Amino acid sequence: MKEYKILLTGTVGAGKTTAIGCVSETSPVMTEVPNSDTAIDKERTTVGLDFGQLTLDNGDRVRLFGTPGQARFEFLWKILVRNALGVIVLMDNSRPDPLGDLSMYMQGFAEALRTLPCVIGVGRMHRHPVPTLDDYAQRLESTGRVFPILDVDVRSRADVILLIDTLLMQLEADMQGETE
Amino acid sequence: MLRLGVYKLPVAEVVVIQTIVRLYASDAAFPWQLVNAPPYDALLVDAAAVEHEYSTVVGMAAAVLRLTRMNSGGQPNALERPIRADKLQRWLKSTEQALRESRPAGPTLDEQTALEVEVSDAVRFMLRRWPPATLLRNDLDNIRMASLLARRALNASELAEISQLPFTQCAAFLQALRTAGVLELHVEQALPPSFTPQSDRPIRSDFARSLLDGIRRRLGLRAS
Repeated sequence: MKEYKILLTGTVGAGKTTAIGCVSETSPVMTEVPNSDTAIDKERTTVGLDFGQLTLDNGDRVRLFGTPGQARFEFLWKILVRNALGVIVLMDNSRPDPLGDLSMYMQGFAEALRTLPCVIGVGRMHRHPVPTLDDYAQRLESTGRVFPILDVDVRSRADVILLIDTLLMQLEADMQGETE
Repeated sequence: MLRLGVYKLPVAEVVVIQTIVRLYASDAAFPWQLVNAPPYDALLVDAAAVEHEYSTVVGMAAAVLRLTRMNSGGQPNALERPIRADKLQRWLKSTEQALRESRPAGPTLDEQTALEVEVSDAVRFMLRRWPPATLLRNDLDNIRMASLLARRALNASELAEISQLPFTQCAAFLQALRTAGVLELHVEQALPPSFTPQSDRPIRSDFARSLLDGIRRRLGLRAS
């Protein structure tokens, strides 16, 4: 039996734990604690990592790891991202500076994202339509990166599956390259 | 772009011609692309193989060049083997000139058919930025195609093969991306998105398709 890993990261409150719960076959194992950070309007927050899993028909497992969102856990991001299939970055468009948040995660995962597939899921766009998806694309372009950027509601299983599917499509493209 | 086709040529010679065209394609003034389906502006054929159907073959393209055996006596519109790049280029140049003169009121080469570029095997495209939301329209097929093009330079045929979507849909999508100005053109062989050593790449050679299919099946997605 082999184990694979998909990493979910993103800002506090963007819904990493919720997204994992949408697709995991088991209830996510959570390391949430009451939030003591007064700068963050959230009752509980992840301090370690969360994970869920999918068991494939051949017995292999895909684990979904959710990182803590705060930048002070950057050291943990670098550990968790090792050997991942890809990274899903969840953004919360209601935050004061979502594009700045994006830049922070692109920087925090810069080394890994040189090779790993990645997708950006932007939440809460309906109530907070700005910045737009095109603004995100422009910000990514300025860093020389091109990743899928999707408007998602992580409470929707279909939206979470779409995020994973776009990672798989990028892996397909990699496989095509290896067969050339 | 002008479309060059081949007909009833040995595979080895097709590869040689493909290589020559790719090399010359690095020159922006070189208007030819090798295509694998009609319509053709020019066609390279094996003289012996089409001997009995030559009248049909000449109707397939505005110009036809017959490849003949060595020392066959320099006939017009014939190229003696072995194929020499300089002679082939000279013929293509003269054919290009003739085609230009025969279409004085026609569109420029660039305008001629933008779609033609998308169906070329020699030209690949990659996203230089994620496409505008108005172009993707939250369409799953569009998002899948764009995800592939974000990762790797592909031509329309490759895009259709990997995405398992109809070729015409892929070509039309490429055209829309080109019009939106989010594509960059790769004339040479597609390169991996990074230049890290193979051993460091996350997707190892033993990373089987069965894994991707397994994940898709588990999530209720289409598996290839």
